Amino acid sequence: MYLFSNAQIISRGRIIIPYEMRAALGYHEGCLVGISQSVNESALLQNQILVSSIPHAKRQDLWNLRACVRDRPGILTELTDFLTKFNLDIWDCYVATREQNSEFVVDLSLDAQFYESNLDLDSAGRKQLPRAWLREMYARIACNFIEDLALRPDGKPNLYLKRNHPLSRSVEKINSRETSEITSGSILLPTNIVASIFHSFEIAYGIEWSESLAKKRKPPYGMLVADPEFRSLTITVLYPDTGHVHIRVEANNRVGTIAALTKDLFDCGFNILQAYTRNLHASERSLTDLLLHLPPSRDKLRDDGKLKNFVRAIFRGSSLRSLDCQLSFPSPTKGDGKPASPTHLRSDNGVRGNL
Amino acid sequence: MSEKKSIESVINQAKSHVIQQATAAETFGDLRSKIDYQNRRAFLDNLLREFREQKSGNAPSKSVFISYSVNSGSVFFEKLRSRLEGAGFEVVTGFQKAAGDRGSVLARILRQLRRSTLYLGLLTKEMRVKGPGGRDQWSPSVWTMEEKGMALALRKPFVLLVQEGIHKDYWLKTAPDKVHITFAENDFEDKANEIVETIHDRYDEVIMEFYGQGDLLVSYDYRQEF
Repeated sequence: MYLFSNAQIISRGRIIIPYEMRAALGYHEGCLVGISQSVNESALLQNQILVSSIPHAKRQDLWNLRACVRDRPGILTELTDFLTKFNLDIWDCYVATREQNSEFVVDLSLDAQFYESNLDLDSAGRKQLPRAWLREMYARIACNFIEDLALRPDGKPNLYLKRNHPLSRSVEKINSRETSEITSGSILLPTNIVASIFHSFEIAYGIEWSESLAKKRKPPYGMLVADPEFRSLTITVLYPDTGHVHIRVEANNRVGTIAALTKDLFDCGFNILQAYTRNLHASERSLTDLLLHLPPSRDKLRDDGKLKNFVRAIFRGSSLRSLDCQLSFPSPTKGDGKPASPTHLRSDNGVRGNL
Repeated sequence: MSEKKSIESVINQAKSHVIQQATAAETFGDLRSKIDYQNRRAFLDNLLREFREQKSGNAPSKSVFISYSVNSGSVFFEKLRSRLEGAGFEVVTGFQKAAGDRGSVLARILRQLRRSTLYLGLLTKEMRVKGPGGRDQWSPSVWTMEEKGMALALRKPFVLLVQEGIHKDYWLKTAPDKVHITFAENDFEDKANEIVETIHDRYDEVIMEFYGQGDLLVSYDYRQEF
């Protein structure tokens, strides 16, 4: 499951991580987080930052173990003790009971750097072969807890062991990596990373764009997506007048709603960078947030106001009328959940509000 | 790890436990529990089979079968062989005798191909043929083509090193999705290095497949249930 947030103005390099994301990712006050920016030469913009509280040195051989077992006293002690015997370092641990406390769900992050096995590759080998798996470890856990493991409907144990690839990749092909401290729920983005992102926009949009931006004194803003499963947070940093727009659409909920919304946007050249759809009003209406990007090759206007008019025109088109869409443009907040200024609350067709 | 029990004995122990539980459930007429334990036993049987397969030497060896013509390809073959052996590969050919082939060339080739992990076809100019528009082109040796067909049938990871002038129907038509590197006599050294790198990549893929993708185990995707 991903967690989304509204766009947020990055003021003096600082960005607030909403409480819900901090809670899901275990970011407490004073916690140190690693901030890294990967390199992808084929991408148009290098504007995403990965944040995780797991230190860079621990990321390359990190695994997620999820198991659902019948609940009984001592099961967690047995499991953690079992993993300890194999030198598996538990980095974090989420457990909860469900089904009237009859089932016990365990979600662990394991550092396998010092795990030794007769059949599995060693840590150095696993780093070379990212698809290599802990086959023997999986089998040993399954056998040791064969009577406890809940079975899936297909008769197989509800046990899963998977490499944390997003974090493994975050230490390979890196442009920059730094650490920052969570202070008042926020982090300070390293200046070199922010500068490198701005440079990436400058390359894509040209010197005229950067001069115009300097005149308007518009700050960058960030959109955050938390991925609790892989213990990571991605910040997409955006600048005004670059073809990026965050829209919120309330529409009739029926078969094909998302396909209809996205098709018209695609036909007009938009690339969808983020989407979050949920049901409203007893499933009669749905609410969809979309982060759209009109690539520079299609965006000749380079103006956020004109871009919004373009989007409005798309929603006035006949194909979307039957969905009774109400469109709004949530404005970047200051990071405290409040909009940047009252004027930004204006919206098309009356839909307003923040996530 | 030496004091720890072998994985096979761990699985067998778990298996005997669930069999006992299934028997007890049957004695008490508890059908639901019996089925539950039978499912656990079936899972353990699969685990055991996988580990036995791995242990019985199915791990891919670092070996390459090179298919070539003695008449037109020996010079190139020797250069390739020294490079591949230098890179730690065992080079296997259809000319090597194999136990049990009883003098049958086909049986010998098939046996050697089966025990090799990768196939490299060295297609050199053997016979003159007419190409498109009546232009003179070449075919590789018949045996090279036979071996290529066998490698395809055995689903061996596959690369071809093709001499310029060989009619495309002999390589591109029958294996359009495979890696093909063409060479001329004056650039063979460079192309040979390139093919050794490609062989390395193919071998890494095979090894990854072996260590990373147990057919049964990896399909236990938690998303189906959690």
